[in-house]
Amino acid sequence: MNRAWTATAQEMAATLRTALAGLGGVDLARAAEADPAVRAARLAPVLDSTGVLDLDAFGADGDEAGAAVLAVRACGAVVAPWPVTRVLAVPPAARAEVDAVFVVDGTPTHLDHADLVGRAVAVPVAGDRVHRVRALGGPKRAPLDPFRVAVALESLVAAPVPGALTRATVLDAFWTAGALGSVTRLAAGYAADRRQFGRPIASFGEIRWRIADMAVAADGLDELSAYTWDLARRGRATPADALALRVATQDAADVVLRNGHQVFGAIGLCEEHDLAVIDRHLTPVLLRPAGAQRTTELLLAEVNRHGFDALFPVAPRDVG
Amino acid sequence: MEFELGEQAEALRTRLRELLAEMLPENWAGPFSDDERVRAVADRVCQRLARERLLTIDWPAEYGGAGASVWEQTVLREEMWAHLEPRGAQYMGLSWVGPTIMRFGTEEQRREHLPPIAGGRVVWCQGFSEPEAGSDLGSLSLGATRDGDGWLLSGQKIWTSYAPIADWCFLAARTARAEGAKTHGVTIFLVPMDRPGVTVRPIDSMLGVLHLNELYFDGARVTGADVLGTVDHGWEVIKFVLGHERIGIPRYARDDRLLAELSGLDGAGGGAFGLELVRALVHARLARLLSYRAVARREAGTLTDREASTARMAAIQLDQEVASLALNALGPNGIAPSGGGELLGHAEDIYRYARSATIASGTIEIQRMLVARALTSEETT
Ligand SMILES: Cc1cc2nc3c(=O)[nH]c(=O)nc-3n(C[C@H](O)[C@H](O)[C@H](O)COP(=O)(O)OP(=O)(O)OC[C@H]3O[C@@H](n4cnc5c(N)ncnc54)[C@H](O)[C@@H]3O)c2cc1C
Repeated sequence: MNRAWTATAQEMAATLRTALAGLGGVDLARAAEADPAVRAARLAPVLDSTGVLDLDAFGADGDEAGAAVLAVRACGAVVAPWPVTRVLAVPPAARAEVDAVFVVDGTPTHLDHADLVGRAVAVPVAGDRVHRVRALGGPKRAPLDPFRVAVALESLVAAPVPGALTRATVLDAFWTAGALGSVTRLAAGYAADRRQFGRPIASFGEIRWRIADMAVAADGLDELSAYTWDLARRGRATPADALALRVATQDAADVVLRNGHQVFGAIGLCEEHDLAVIDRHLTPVLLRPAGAQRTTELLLAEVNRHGFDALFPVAPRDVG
Repeated sequence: MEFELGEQAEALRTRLRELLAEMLPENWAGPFSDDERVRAVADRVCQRLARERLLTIDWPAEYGGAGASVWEQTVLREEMWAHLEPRGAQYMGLSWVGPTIMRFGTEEQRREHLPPIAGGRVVWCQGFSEPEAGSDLGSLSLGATRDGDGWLLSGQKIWTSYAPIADWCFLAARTARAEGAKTHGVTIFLVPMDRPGVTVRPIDSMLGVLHLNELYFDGARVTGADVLGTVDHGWEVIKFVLGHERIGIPRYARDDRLLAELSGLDGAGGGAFGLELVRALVHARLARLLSYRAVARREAGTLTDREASTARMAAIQLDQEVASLALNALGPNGIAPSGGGELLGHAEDIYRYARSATIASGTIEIQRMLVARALTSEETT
């Protein structure tokens, strides 16, 4: 057991965090929502110059792989408006032909930021029929889907994309963990500052209760993301491991966002507040390819098929 | 960043499972029963583990330990809990009384107490809680009044687990009125349970025998030789003890075992039961990882309330979730114990005991308070 990220990985992530802060942090997401051209004009150069999109998040090089997932986490912390996880989900061997991977469940009508990635493919959450994705125009904003782009799934691609579900799930989990870390920190800081009835609201039991639940959820997701990433790098992550992480990601987001809003009261609902933006912009990450119920059903199917690793492993079931 | 516990730790897990399979009787339901034969099993297990130098693997070599890695130690705790704590009440001596005596004890106290603990031959109980001092432990008031070169103890402790079978009590008493901080004036005494003036009264509880008791001190005499640490500064010792206890029992280990058994039941492959079951599997993995984080932080000397208490919160809530899942899955067939080698045969016992998971060793409200305080102070400093 070694729970430390390498110094190199941490440094690269810190450089990216500084660069993102220089672009305004969450303000960049706000600006991009108002004018989607901001994504390519302002964020793309930073992602290019730091080399984030070329990293192998699951390779043997611990510095590089660690830097990649910490970079994803840093982007998630400010809900940076770029499909970073979709790009990094492409295995390096496939990058000559594929620019981005979207994991889908059925035939999606929209995908986020699909206009930014030329040669994108759609990989089914269960199955291996890979399609090309064609973006039909630019983003048509919806409050909970700010960069939704209408898409059509076209011709079947010959080669499958190995490990797509695991890679995409792990990267989305790091992204979400970054966002939830931001919300938890904001809420804890606000609880200490905001006074009502002559005391900081952090002194009220109900507020402490919420902050503690947020910490358990956010910290748990951090741990499970790193654990599943480690399994994936060793080639030992099963689809059940990936879907377990997915269930945990959706759960953690629900706990953190619901309690986070409650701690802030009315102010957290305002668009000028980062919480509102993080909440809205995170939603597509949580709902694609599938919502919580469906994800749990998919997990159950995988546990039945392959079992589940634990101190006392769950055996596969004979499913006729 | 990697999460393997290491070959040695995994080899130890295999060895412990083999050993327990050999030593535990077919219908092993844990050591907390009235039946003397059952308790004899715990004694045999402890002494066998002691002979194989497994009982105190995490102690330093100079006190009979094997200097095991923190992960081997974790594996030992996981396997013991998963198998219904076959060490019985001895586990307290091993996990915190021994280490606390190493840290604060005189040479004489170490010589007297450490070998019997390491040999699995002694049961300790913890005399901290009082009727008026529960979560607010610092307000404890059991009196120790000066009497020549010693003190006379008078007052009551409560909830004292295993007191009826304990040989020694690790007792917190008040030797002076609090000055400034209310935790000032507390002293720790190591008191033999057969000392005149010490009486135990078992409390009938839904948890079963031995778990909850009252402990009365009626003029029991203690001397300087019984004091652990410094007079009036016992709070230092208590903090050390609570520090050892704070990562808590690896409850997720038994929950993992119960979930694996549940997954073999008819109906576990689908429906609402199947969905709840896989969600619990996710929660069990999360609880284990949060616990590993706390263990790693403690090993590195950087453990804070945030890591310790988030791990506790996840584990104790998991315990209740899995206990309810098990009893509900079994339905009316699970209400009475059915015995057998499977944990599921003891689902009702596990369910009853799980009611205390969020109360014992610091309630979940106190854990939440600690986490929230840690986070808000991180954000304001
Ligand atoms: C199975 C079991 C075994 C035990 N074994 C031992 C033992 O061996 N030795 C020993 O000394 N003790 C033992 N205890 C006692 C245990 O440490 C106490 O039960 C625990 O500290 C809580 O104290 P209490 O039960 O008096 O509850 P109280 O402190 O009275 O709490 C009642 C309720 O009020 C809440 N509350 C209290 N203060 C606050 C606050 N500031 N903010 C918000 N909520 C609050 C609590 O969380 C709880 O929900 C045991 C308990 C159990 C259940």
